[in-house]
Amino acid sequence: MDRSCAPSGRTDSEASSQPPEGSARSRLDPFALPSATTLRFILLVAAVVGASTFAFNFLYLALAPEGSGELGLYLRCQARAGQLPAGGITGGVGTAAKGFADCVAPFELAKAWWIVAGVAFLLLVAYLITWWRPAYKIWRGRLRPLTAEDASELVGYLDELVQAAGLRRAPVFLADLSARAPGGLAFGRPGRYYVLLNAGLITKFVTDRAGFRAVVMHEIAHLRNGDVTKAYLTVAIWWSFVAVALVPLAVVLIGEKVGFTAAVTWRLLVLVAFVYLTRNAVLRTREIYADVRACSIEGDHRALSEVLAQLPRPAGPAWRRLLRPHPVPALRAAAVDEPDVLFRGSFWEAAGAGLAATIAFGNLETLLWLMFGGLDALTARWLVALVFAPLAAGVAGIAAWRAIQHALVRGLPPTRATAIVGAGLGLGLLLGGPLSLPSAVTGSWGPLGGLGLSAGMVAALLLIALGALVVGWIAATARAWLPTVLDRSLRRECLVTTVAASALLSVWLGVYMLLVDLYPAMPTLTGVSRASHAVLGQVAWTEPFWLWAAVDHPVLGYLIERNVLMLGLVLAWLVPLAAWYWPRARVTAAGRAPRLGLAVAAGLAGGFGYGILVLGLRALVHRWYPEATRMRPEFALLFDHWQVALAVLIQVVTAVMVAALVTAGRGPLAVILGLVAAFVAGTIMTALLLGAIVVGGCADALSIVPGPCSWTASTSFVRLTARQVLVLGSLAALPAAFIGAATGSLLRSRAARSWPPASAPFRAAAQPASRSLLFVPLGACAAALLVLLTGSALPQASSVATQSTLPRPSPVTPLQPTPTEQTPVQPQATPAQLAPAQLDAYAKQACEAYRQMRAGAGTLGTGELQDLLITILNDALHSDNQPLQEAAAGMGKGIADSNPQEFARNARRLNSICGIVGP
Amino acid sequence: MNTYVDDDLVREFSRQIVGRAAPEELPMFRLSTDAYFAAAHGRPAPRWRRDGRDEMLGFGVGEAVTLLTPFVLPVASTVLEYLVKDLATAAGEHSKEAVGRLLRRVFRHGEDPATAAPGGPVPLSAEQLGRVRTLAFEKARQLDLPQAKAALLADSVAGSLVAVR
Repeated sequence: MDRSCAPSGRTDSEASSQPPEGSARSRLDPFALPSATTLRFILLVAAVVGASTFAFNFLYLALAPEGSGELGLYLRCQARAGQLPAGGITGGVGTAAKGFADCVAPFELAKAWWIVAGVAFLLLVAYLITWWRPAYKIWRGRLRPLTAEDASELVGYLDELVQAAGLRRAPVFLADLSARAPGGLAFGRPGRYYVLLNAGLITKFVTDRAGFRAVVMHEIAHLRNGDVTKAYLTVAIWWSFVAVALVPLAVVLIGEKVGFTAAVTWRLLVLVAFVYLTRNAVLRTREIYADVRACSIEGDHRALSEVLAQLPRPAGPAWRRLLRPHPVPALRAAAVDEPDVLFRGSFWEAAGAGLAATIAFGNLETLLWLMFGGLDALTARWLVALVFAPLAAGVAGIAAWRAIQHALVRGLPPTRATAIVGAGLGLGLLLGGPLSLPSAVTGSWGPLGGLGLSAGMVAALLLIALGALVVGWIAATARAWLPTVLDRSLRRECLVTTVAASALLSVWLGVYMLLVDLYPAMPTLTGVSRASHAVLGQVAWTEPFWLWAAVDHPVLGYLIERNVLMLGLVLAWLVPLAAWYWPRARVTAAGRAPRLGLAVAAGLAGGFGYGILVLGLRALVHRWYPEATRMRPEFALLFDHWQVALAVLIQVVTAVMVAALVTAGRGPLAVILGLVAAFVAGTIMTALLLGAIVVGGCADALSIVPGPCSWTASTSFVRLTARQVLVLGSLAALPAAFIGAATGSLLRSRAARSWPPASAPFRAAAQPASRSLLFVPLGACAAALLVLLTGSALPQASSVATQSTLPRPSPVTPLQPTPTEQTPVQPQATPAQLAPAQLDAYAKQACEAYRQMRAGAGTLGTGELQDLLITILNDALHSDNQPLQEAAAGMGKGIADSNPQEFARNARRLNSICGIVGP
Repeated sequence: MNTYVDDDLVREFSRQIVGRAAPEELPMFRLSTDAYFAAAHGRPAPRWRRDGRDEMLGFGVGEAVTLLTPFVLPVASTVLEYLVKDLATAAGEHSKEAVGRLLRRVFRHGEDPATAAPGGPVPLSAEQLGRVRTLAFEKARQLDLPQAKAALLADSVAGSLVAVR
């Protein structure tokens, strides 16, 4: 029995679980891990469907009656995109991020439904093509089924092959009398599959039975692998896209400006080339899988190898191979002997996945905002990322798993293969933006264009790094799991890792896209932070602004409020750690084990050390600053900032030290353990920071503001503190851990030169740490999530704590009192009872804009009035005042519908809410 | 088509030829003859040529083989038409039924023993066989069949007739 093929009759998992006796595990089972080609097909479909939304969008502009005025609206809103509303009002991060969408949303819902209908029509046409294509093929080729009447022996033999392959439903075998090459073809639709046998192949039934069997089994293997539906559906979607979207778009573009037409056209050509080349690349991989599957069913590859050897070598230059759906015969023959080619990580495969993930990102984002304009900016991007990122992560992740498995079995270093995959994914993610069709409208070249050179380069590197990090993370987890599961199917573990990586990539890709879109508004948003820095700097010492902004910036404040981000950070270390402590954890052959004990100890030390430092800080502040200064609300904000900054700093130091020590000792998961240490420390710090408030109330020498010896912190303050410490700390700990790992490598190389191996100072643990240590990071994680998600773990404050997050100071509005230990809190009034003085900050801004609109009704131009109306709508949307939201929306509707009664009625409501006297 | 030569006769004669010259093509013989007669009666041919094309989920581009069946059928028809003329002239018979009976005696094909003409099979003379072979060869070459294959085909045609003796 050939060692590269499983014995016939055994399933793949059985084969991989029972290697031949006396032999090391030297053969690779390509079916032990899932293939990424299905995900690549889906990714192609998603990219094409996503690109079609652009076409339908443009067709609406050209064909719909309302479309003629759209372009002017688009250009006006695009110019305003990323800017804050007029009047110097701090609209906040969410407003800035949604600037463009909020501007166009009231007018775009009809277009959204048009686009949805277009996509639905595209899918319907694709379905019809898939359904009727087999019948068309049979008619066109005058294909006839082979029956027992014609050749009973042949038909009986084909039935045997179908049974040997384990197909649940036999295909229909057809003969193509016009085709004289000794080949075949698999085609069909779900529930009805066909295998076409060329006349030249049928003759081999008599002249070369083994060769006949090999070719037919190859075609049957396509059915066994599920290739027909995926391939033909993908092609159908492509042809439907061409007919339903591309051709009409090309017609409409004829009348457009040359520059714009050219910008769209070359991008379409790139899309066409990308889809075609990727399709061929995936098909070439599926051919090798079919060869290997056929070989594994037969248990012998000699007949297939002989047939492959008879295939002529394709003529023409090497690049033409990219245009063919079959690999060169020599590669196929080598693969059935040793299927290593199915395990090598491909840069282009990963790059294609990244490209497909972002080339249609903007299209779907726009559609989502058109349909659900009220969606939060980051939530919208996450929803879009959830469509594409799992597919891209899946492709890259499976490639990484295969590369690691290949390296372990062949005794090769896995790092290079996974680095190639990571770099490819990152580069693909980067290129998708400028190659997307919407960039033809905006003129943006992604991060490089819209951000300026230096910021663009940083953004580009960040995105490439994101791809590389995700793949590196998958590889680290795979390396942890693979030694424990080499003797059985790996699909479950691969799936778990891929799902987790998908979540990670979705979260961070969404954040990245938001930050890029926010960049034009960054100066204004940073101005908010700078203003608070200046104001608080007048009260007491503040660090340089660049350090201040690392803790206190509107963008960070916006991000840390997203619980999903916390989940993303926890997932980053939880999954790889779980891989090491899976039920059958073993030490690798190199004797390395993760030093979880070190990470936990460092986290505990950092956390409790912080507690001591905070108490010391309180004592110093109490001594250095007079009570009058300490009683100021600005000082409370400043002191809170110092505590958070100190916590982040200690987490950074902890992460650096742990990662350095682990790497120096050649231990695995250095960066992961650094994150664990930081998180453990952060959880303890949060608890001690809040506990110190109680201590301050009990011991005057440690108090900032005199107060009762009891718990006074509100739930929202506790959540905010936890978020700041844990999220900011983890974010800072990530690059710190990498720096620590790099430092550890340096130390290790120096120690290797200076110390004998036996007495090297950073020897790793020989045995894995006790599983009970896992309870420490898991307990920290559970406590943090419980606090963040429910707040139920918190003791009730001694007064009724109702205020939400700290209001952000602005250059316009003075600082509001903050919920410190001693601020008395008013019972929360119902919205209807709120007097104008009790309106929240956004409501006040909306009222201010309304006053300006009333005052300038006779003097301001239409555009300025429209800007003010949009400002009112935006600010009302972000306030907690529902009557204000309703009145603002009603007034806007009255204007849009040219309904003066509706407008006047809602204007009167606004007068009442804002405390304005008069009509 | 000659009204004395029906499709069934052509089919059977061709099957014998194919069985000698290219037995590996017998599994698709019925389909091939159906397609041939359908085309002869005006049905359109397949609207594609797949040879040389690298198709999705196929096996790859292989060297095409030369099939004999597409050549056998027109050659067989031509030979049978010649034999009809020759036999009818020699026997002085002109009625379709009589000529058909004579032809079947050449091949012993489809002969109903109850109504079979008296006498055994009618062998062809060496001269007739020679002319038949030449005719088959020329017809095959006319159809662009390579020389070696045409010779094989012609020998098989003659062998199918000789075997009746």
